[in-house]
Amino acid sequence: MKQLSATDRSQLAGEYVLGTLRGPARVRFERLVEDDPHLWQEVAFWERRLGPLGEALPEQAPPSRVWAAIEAQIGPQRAPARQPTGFWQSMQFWRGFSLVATGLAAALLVLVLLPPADTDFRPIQVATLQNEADGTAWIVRVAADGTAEIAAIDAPTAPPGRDYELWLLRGTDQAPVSLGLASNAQTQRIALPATFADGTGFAISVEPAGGSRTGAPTGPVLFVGGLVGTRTN
Amino acid sequence: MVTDDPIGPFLEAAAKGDYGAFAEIYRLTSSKLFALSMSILRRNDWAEEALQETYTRIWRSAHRYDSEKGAGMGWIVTIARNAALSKLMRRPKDEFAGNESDMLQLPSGDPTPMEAAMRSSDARQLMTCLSELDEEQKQSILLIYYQGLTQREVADHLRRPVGTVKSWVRRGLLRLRDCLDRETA
Repeated sequence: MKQLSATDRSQLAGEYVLGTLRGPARVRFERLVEDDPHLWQEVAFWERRLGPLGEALPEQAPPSRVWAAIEAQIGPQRAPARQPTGFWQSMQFWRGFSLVATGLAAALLVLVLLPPADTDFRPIQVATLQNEADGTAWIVRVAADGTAEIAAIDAPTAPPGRDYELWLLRGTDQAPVSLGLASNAQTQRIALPATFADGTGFAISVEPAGGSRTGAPTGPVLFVGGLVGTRTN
Repeated sequence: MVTDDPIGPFLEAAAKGDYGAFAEIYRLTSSKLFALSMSILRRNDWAEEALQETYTRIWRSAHRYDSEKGAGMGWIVTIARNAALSKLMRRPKDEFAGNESDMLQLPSGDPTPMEAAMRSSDARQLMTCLSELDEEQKQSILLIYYQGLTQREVADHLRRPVGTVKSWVRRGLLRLRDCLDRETA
């Protein structure tokens, strides 16, 4: 492909940025770009030059649950890996205080938007369990009394002979704790273990029917979400 | 007045882990990118998912942004369109949203509403150069850009052979490139 002319390069890059290259052709082109700085320059040219089109539509504010979901998804990554609780005392936390407050407002909105199955249930924290391909599958809400509600939002069916298992995530140096099987059809209410004090989020893995026999996730971890919200104690 | 790259400095800060800068990017751009996702996907739930994926990608790959190679907004818009387009490719064929009438409205090529929103010099140059294209070239390019249509779908929509549409797009892009080079020089 080294013999691409300047015109070919510009046209291919233009079609890529415009979006006419689809499927395998798009993937092939992305690989070509990585090895060809000239092609990369052409892509940058079109990104910059067509960019204003993307700004030209009348603005439309997204619902605040989108930001809450983004925070839930990337939240654990910005916390220091070894000391989950240290995050709350860190400089970054104070510098981003207004932002965290905005995130909290958004999280609270999620809490309000999703009426609990049990009206006595008063959530103070929420985690949106998702991945890039399937989006949001489960939402876990945690109440001040140490119970949690696991609601399937758009959860796929488990593969035949397999079950989904819910895990409590703690710091990267601490093992996840099993919270039992997760239903993709019903909203469940569970009591959280004492280890929840270190909890930073939740994950769902695919396990043999009945759950992991080792006490640790053995199948692929499909959905992950960080906790958003504050604990009262 | 809009500067040419209000987003770039925030992207560079986000690349260093500054979460506040990332939140500012969201505040400044999410309404524009949501409009763009909606124009391509036309379903609130899909557009919300695409937007979420867009910002997750921005946060994770901000370190790959290179201010030498272009404005931050252009880089972000590409990520948003890629997220919307890949969602569009995954959806079942029979779930194609929208109908003939609203397909015709949005990318009419009428510069008036666009001009109001395009105040930067890049935007002005693009408008000038788009206006120099043949109507079919411009319409095909805008249909693809704003609605995520394939060239075949544009051909069906305009009731013309797909080869004709491909040639409109190809020639339109080359003319656009020539004109933009001229305008910049």
